Amino acid sequence: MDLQREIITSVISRCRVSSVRETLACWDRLSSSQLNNSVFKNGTKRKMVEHLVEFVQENRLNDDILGDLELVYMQLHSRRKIWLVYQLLGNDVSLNLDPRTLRSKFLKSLQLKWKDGRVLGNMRVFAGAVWLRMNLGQSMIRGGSGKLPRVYNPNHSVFIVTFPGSPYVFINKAAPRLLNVVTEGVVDALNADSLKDIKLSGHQVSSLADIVLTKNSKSMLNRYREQEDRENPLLVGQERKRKAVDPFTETEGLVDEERQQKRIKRVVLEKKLGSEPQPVLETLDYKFNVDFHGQELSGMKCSTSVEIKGTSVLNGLYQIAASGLVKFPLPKHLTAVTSSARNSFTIESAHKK
Amino acid sequence: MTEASIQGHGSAKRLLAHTPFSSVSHCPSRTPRFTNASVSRRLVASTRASRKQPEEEEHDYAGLLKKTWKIFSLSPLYKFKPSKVCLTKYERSLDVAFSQVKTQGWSTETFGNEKTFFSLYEGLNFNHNDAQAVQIQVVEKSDSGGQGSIVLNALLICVDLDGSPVPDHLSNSFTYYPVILISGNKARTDVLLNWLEQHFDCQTSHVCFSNNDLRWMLGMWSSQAVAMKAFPVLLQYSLADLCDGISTIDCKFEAAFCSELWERLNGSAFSREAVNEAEVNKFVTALEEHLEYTMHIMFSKLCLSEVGTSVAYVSSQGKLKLFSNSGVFPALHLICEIVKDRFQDIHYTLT
Repeated sequence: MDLQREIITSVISRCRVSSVRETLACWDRLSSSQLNNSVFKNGTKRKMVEHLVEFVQENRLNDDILGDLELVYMQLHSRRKIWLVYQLLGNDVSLNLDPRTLRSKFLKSLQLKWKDGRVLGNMRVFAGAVWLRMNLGQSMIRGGSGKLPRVYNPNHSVFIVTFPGSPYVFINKAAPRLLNVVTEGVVDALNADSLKDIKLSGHQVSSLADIVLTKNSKSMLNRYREQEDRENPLLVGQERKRKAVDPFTETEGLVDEERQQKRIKRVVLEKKLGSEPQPVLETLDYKFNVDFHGQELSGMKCSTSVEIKGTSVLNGLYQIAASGLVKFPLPKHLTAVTSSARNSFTIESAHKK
Repeated sequence: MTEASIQGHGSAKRLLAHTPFSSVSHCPSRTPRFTNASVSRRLVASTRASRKQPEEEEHDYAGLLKKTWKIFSLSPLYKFKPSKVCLTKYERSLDVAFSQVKTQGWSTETFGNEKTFFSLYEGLNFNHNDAQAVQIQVVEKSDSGGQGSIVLNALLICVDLDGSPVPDHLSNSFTYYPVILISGNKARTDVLLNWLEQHFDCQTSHVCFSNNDLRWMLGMWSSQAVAMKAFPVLLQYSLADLCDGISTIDCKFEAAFCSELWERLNGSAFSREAVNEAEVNKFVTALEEHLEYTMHIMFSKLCLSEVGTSVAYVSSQGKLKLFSNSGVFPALHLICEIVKDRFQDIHYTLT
């Protein structure tokens, strides 16, 4: 019972009070009259937990069903995690496994690899993608400081998103030890040779999906974004729109000599970066290992790292380019982020010594 | 501290409301100096430079390193004496200030049982004209009476200034500390700064650094020799005002590379005593040119929001973190000079 209470507590405490009801509604275990209980409308989180624990006890729900609750929470709040994108390599990758088979294969493989404790696995289809939750339990014996480890650690849940027919797998950023086991499990379950980190990461699953799924558009995939917009009640009002860049205004009596150039720049920009809003990425990482190019000094090797951070980096780049802070022609590592599907680059000078 | 003595301080304040550096501002016509007279800044302490001593043994600046400090500027303090007897007096007075805030009732949660300790901080006096550094520690005692924990640290410093804004005939009544470093929460910081303003009739303000100040720091500190495992040289540009999508761009260079670059541009920095503005500009421009070459973004048109070197990390919002004993002098000296220059620019020179 402790475990169930811990799962409920961790989920409810991470939700906003206003989004608890939506999350529970998607979980689909409570009837609408139960959901309309005043506890969920204006009770404290503590009371909600107590109410849910009672409900779980009455209906004798097992740990797996409560795992679903955490999975539902993660589907609706996927922006709270950083997602890493991996690509499955190999000739015999089974991309169209039945989700239930996938879950059981995956679970079996993890249970063999994970020695520390119990492994719980859940599967749920959401927005056209298959979501898996693997909770890797802790051993109750190993407690470094003499303290008993927590019954349930939400950080030990790893979430995996796969898209039927696509070789890309999203895994949330977790402790390296967990990530290693989970990636091995994915390789086993999907019969792949290996899993390659394609150096693309971000908070928005829909944007990452846009980038990798449109990249090989041969497979006719349902757009993840549209489905998520439909299925996720918490996304209402979160639509992204590119802020309109100031149009060319003509002021009477004012002659803009660089008008033609500015117009050409704008056209180039739209061609390179697209007129549609860009996918949302939070960081762009660059590592340069090139000759130094300042003050006409030659023969100095210089390694630098540049990290661009923000809420929506690609849209930001478009804005500063439009406002004239970027030199034209645009370099490829700025324009080809979406087409090469990565946001971490290492650039070395061509001639190596 | 009795109530009478507090009132004594209060009345003293009223009497002296017209001291030249008063927080009650009713200044006569000021003639601000817009040009910065000092275009060259020292890298080594003035006493050490004149004596040409071999490297002295490094002082261990315990409690100063690896802590995030907020920088505040101070105008000269009226009748502040860094002597043992006076410091004990100040301890009591500040204790009362803390307890008064508590009894006013509106912030009972943020304040506990505070006890303050004033002490002289050794090792920051490089010049005999400098006022001696004073450390202020606020300890919160638990109700059970055990060892309290330090909740606020403050350091009044004046590091090797070239000339003080206090004229000679007033130097007996005024002690000038350009900078007070504070690490502690905001409520306690406010109490301390208020207390300083009321009791020494000075003016305190939060220090923000301009783009130019940050370039100076970058240039001067990255010219220093670096240890094997040095922190990278960081140039953080803020774009929050320019676009919605990008908040900052962090650019990092290797510390060893920067010191080599400095040497190639301006000659070795090891035997130098001073650095001038042209050299700093040359160095920072070179770094920015390289970044522009690689990223095609015009960094020279952007504003720095944070710079970091192996000596210290400083943000434009006045946060400071020091890393090495050898870096304490160059870092604090430059900050004191910048703050002093700004103070002199605002206050007309007294005659």
